[in-house]
Amino acid sequence: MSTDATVCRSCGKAAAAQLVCDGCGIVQELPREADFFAVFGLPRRLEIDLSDLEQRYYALSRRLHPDLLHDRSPAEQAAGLRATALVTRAYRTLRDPVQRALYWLALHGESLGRDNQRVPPELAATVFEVQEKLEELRAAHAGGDGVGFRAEMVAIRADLGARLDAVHARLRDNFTRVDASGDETALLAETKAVLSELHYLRTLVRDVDKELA
Amino acid sequence: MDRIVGIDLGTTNSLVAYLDDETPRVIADPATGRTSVPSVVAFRPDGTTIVGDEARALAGVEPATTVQSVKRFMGLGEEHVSAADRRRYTFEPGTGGIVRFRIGERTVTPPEISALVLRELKRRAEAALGEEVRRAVITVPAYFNDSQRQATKDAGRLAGLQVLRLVNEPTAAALAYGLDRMTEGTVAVYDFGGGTFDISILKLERGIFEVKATAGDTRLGGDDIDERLVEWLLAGAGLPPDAAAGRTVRARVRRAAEDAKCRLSSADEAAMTVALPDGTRLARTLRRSELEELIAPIVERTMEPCRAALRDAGLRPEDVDEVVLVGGSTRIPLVRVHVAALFGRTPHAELDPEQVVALGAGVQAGILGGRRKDMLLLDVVPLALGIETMGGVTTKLIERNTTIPTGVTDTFTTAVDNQTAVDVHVLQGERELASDCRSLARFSIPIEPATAGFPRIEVTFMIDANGILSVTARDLRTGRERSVDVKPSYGLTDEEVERMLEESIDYAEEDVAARLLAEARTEAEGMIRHTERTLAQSGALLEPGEAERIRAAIGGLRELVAGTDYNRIRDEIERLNEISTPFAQRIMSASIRSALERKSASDVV
Repeated sequence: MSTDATVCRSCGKAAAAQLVCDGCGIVQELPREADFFAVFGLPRRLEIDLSDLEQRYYALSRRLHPDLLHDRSPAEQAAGLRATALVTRAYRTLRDPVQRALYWLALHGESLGRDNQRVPPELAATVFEVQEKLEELRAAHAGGDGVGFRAEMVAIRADLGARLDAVHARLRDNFTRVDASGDETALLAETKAVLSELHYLRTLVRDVDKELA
Repeated sequence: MDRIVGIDLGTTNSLVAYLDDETPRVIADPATGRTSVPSVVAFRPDGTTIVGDEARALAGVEPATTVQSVKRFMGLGEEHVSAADRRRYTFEPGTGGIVRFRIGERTVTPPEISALVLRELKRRAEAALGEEVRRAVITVPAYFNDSQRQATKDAGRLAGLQVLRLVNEPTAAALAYGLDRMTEGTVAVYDFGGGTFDISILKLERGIFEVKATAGDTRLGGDDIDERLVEWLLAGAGLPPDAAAGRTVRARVRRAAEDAKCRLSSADEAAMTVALPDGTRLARTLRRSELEELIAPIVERTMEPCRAALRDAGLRPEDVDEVVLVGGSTRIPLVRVHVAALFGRTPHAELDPEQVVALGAGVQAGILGGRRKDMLLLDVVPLALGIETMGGVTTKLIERNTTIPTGVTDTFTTAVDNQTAVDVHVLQGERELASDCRSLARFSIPIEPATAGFPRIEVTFMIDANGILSVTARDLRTGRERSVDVKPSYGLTDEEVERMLEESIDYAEEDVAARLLAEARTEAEGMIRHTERTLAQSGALLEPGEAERIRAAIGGLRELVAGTDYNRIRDEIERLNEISTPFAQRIMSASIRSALERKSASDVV
C-alpha cells in the first residue's frame, strides 16, 4: 500500500503528504502549517461541495475520535485527541466560505492585515451614511420616538442584508474563477478586496442588529 | 473488563444507568424499586451522613445541615453565592477560591457533597449488577463552564469513580431518543431541570450526533419556580418577619410549594398545608392559572437562549424537525405551551423526561466500553475561551459552539528585558472585558532571561471531549516543553483532592495505599495489554530498534507490577507511554490514511 494514494488525487501537491507525515505523527505543529484540504483528501480548490465535506468529516471522526479509542493505549488516545482537534479545525475553516477564503490567503502568505485598516472605497459612503443614521436614530430613540426609529432601522438592515448577499455572490464567483484559472495565486488581490468589503458590511450589520435587539 | 455506568447527577434527583446488550436501563434500588436518588445530603451531629430520600425528609427538620441542590454551587466561588443561598446555608467566609459550606464544625466543598451522592449511586449499581463499579460517564448541563465540569470530575474521583467522560445532558437525551426512535434530522433538546436550563440543537445522521449549537443558564430551573412560590406563600401568610425568614419555615414552605407545583401539572388547583414550628398551620389553595401567572417570567427566561442557539446554528425554528423535552420542569403545561409556540410544533415527551438523561449516559457508557461502535457524539464548547491581554481585555482563542475536542496555539513573549516568567490568565465567557468573564485559571510560564520580545513560547490550549481545558507550553527557540502549573480559580487542586480522599470518612477503614497500588496495577496491566496488542497488529509501522525499546519498557513495568511501589509503577507507565508515543502517532496517521483511502474507493463506486 503506497502512501501516495492519499497525496491529493487532483493536484498531487506534496502538502498532502506533509500532513500525514510519517516522521512526526499527524498533529503536533500542524495547525499552523497544515493544508486543511489535504486533511480531507480534497484538492486545493476554493469551491467545495459542503455535503461531501461533511461526509468526509464524519468518516474521519469515526476513525479518530477519542470516544472510540478507549480501549487503546494512552499515547494513541492522546494522538487521537490531537488528530480530532485538527480535523475539527480544518472542517470549521473549510465549511465557511469566508473562513475558507481567509485561510486561502494565509496559505499564500497573505492576510487582510494592514489593507483592512482602510474602509474599501466602494463602501466608504455607505459606512458613513449608516453610522450617521445610527447616531441620528439613537438620538431620536432617546427622545422617545421608538416606533419610527425601529422602522428605519429595519429598512437599513434589509438594505445591508441585500448588499451582504451580493458580496457573498461575488465571493463565490471569485472562487469559481480562481479554480478555473488553474493558478492558485490568481486573483488573490480580488479575493482580498471582497473579503475586506464583507468584513466591513458584517460589522455594520452587527451594529444595526445590536440596536434592533 | 468491568462495566461502565452512566450517571445523571441532577440538581434535584440523580440516577444511574447502564447499557444492557443494546438497550439502556436505569438501575432501581433493589430494596424500594425507586429509580431516582434525591440529590440531598444530611450531615448528622454524630458525624455521619445520610443521602437520598431520608435526607430529603430531614430538610424540613434540620435545614441548615441538610444540603439540597448542591449542583448549583459546583465550580463557583464565594462571590457567586446569592442572597437567597445565604438565607438557606452558612458559608465559610473569606476563603477565596471555591465556595465552602459551613456545616456545624465541618467545612465541606460542593464536590465532596456531590461525591456522597455519587457514592450512593455507585453502591446501588454495584448491588444491582453484582460487581464492582469503578468507571463512569457523568452528565453535566451543556452550559456548564470549565470550573463546573472540573468540579464534577473531582466529585467522581472523590467517590472512587474514574470519570471516563462528562456528557452534556441534552446531548445524552438526544442519544437516548435517537436510539429509541431512530430519529434523523435536526433535533432541538429543551432541557429544563431542577436547577439548570439548556437548549441544544443537534443534527442526527446515521449514528452521528453532531451538536450545532447550545445555550442555557446554569442558574435557572425548578428551584427558581419553587422559590417564587415560597415568596408568594409567605407574602400572603401574614407571618411575623422573623418567623417568615426562619430556615425551618422556609424549608417546609418550599416542600409544600414544590409538591403543589407538581400536582398542578395535572390538576387545576392544589391545596397546601404547612405545619409551622409554633404549632399553627398555614393553608392556601393555588390554582393553575395563578401558578402560571407567577412563573411566566421564569419560563420566558428560557426563550432567549433558545433563540440564541437557533441563531448560532444558523437555523430558523421551522428548520427543526423534532423538539424533545427533558427535565422535570418540562412537565409543567405552561412550559410546553411556550416551547410549542416558539418552534411551531408539538414537542416530544415519550421518554420519561426525568430518566432520559440517565438513559443517554448509559448509552454513552456503552459506546466508551465498545458495546456500540456505530454511534458517535460530536459536542461543542458552550462558552468562548480566551485570555486576558493588555488593558484587561479578553482576547478570544476559541469561539463558543466550537466542536470539541479542539485546540488552539498562541505565541507569547516578554515585555521587558530579563523577564523570568509570563503570566497567563485564562477566561471563559463572551464579554469583552476580562473582569466580566469568568476566571478559569492562572498559570505562569518560566522564561530564561533575555532581551524583551526575544523569547518565544508557544502555548497550546486544548479542550477535550469533556469540555475541559488543558494547557501545554513549548519554548520555540529550544523546542523544549515547559511545565505549566495551572491554578484553578474556583476549583480544587490535585493535592486537595488527594488529601480529601485520604481524609474522607468513607475511606477511613480502607487502606489508601492498597487502593492506590491496585489502581496503578490495573492501569499498568491495561497499558501492557494495549501496547502488546498494537505491537502485534501494527508491527509494520515500527522503526528499527523501536520494538526492542518498547518491549524493554514493558518488561520493566511488569517487574514493578509484581512489587508494591505504586509511585514507581506510575512513573514506569509514564515512561512506557513516552516511548510508545511516536509509534502510536504513526498508527493514527495510518488510520487517517486508510479512512481516506476507503473514502476514495467509495467515491469511485
